[in-house]
Amino acid sequence: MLFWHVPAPNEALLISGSKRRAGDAQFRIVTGHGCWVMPVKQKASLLSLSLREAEIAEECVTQQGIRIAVRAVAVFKVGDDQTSIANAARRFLDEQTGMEQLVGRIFAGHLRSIIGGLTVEEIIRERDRVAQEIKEGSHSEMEKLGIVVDALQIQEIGDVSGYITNLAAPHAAAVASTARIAQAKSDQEATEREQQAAALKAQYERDTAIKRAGFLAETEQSNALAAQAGPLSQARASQEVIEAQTALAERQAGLAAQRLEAEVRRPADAEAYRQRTLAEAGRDRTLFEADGRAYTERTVAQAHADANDLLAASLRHGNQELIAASRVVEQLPALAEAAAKGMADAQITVLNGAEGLGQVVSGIVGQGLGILDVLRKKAVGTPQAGTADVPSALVNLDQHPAAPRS
Amino acid sequence: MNHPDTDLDPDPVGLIGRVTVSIPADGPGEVLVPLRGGSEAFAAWSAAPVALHTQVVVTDRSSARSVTVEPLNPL
Repeated sequence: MLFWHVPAPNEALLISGSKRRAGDAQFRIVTGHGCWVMPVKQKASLLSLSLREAEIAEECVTQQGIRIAVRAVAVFKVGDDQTSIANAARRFLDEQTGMEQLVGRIFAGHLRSIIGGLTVEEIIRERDRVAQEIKEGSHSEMEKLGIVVDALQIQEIGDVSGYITNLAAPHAAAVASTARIAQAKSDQEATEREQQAAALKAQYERDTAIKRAGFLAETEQSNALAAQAGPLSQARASQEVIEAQTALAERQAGLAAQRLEAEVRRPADAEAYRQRTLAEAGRDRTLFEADGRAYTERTVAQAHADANDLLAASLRHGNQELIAASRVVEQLPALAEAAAKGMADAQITVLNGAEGLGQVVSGIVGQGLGILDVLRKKAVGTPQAGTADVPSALVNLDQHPAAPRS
Repeated sequence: MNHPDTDLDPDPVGLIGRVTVSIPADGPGEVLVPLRGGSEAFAAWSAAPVALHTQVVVTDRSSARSVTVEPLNPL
């Protein structure tokens, strides 16, 4: 359609020449829809509302007086409201392509004031603060131009005076120091761990060696014990054998002693007993025989004495028999001695030996002497009797031995 | 200000916007107000400093691209 004009969504249609005016504006602004444009009488122009971009490179001085080179990008567009479109249309409609350059130059100036109100630290760190300054510095002027600044991005800050480097230096140094400290610490820890590990290893090795030595000692002890066990048990066995042999020898000795007892001593004892009994019997027999003989003789002598007494009594005046009796009495020791000699010569084995024989002899002699004493007393008791007369009386008595008794 | 074409130039007064650049005591910040089917940024002044991302109510329009705002008190 020749007369029907439709603006694109990012365009504003400016119609001049119409009598139908919108307010104070000398031209009509149409956005978003189409409208009739009368040829010749009216003139339609299009103003782009799309985004534009301006690059700025400027050396600025910050609030602290530090010189920095700033490179920034400003993103802007014509405002969507009627005032902005009207303002922009009046200024830029014929030079829309040069808009970026123009805005860039304007912003270069504004950037100085924006940067001048900030410190380097704020520029680097505080976006909100930068945006505030941009608003404050550029708002009124941009409004005059009908332009809305969507963004002003500071792309690069050139460190002309070395301030930023110096600003970073302490931190960089601190970071480097921290890094070195961390490195050293980790090295130290690693070394410590290594040393600990080595120490533990040595400790374990020592423990292992000790245990190994202990086990070796136990093994050797056991081996030694095992090695000793053979000879020891052999010695024990030998000891037992010797003990058994000793016991056997003792038993044999006992047996021999018993055998000796049974075979030698008992028979010997029996023999001795027999011989002693025999000797005692012989002795007793001899004794009894001697006693009997002595008794006989004593009786005979008594009889003789009695006879002599009687004779003496009868011969009170004669003393013949008394003298004879005294003679017999004088002969008595010789008689007794002869009897004893006969006993000594007898072939009788007496157990008491010579002593026993002596006893017998002395007994016999004692008896004989006793008889002699009796006779002597009797003889003294009769002093009237004359000694010269006794032998004759004795002779007479011998001739009649049993006369008085019978 | 007289605005005959309300379709082209709607009034942001009474709308609720969000602070995109914090508003200092003596200078402008920026609020983003839903307008014309999209959202538009206005330079904003306030009686007291308003922090970033605060919900505000537009109370007045001082120029085409400038408004006065009040923090929206959550009642």
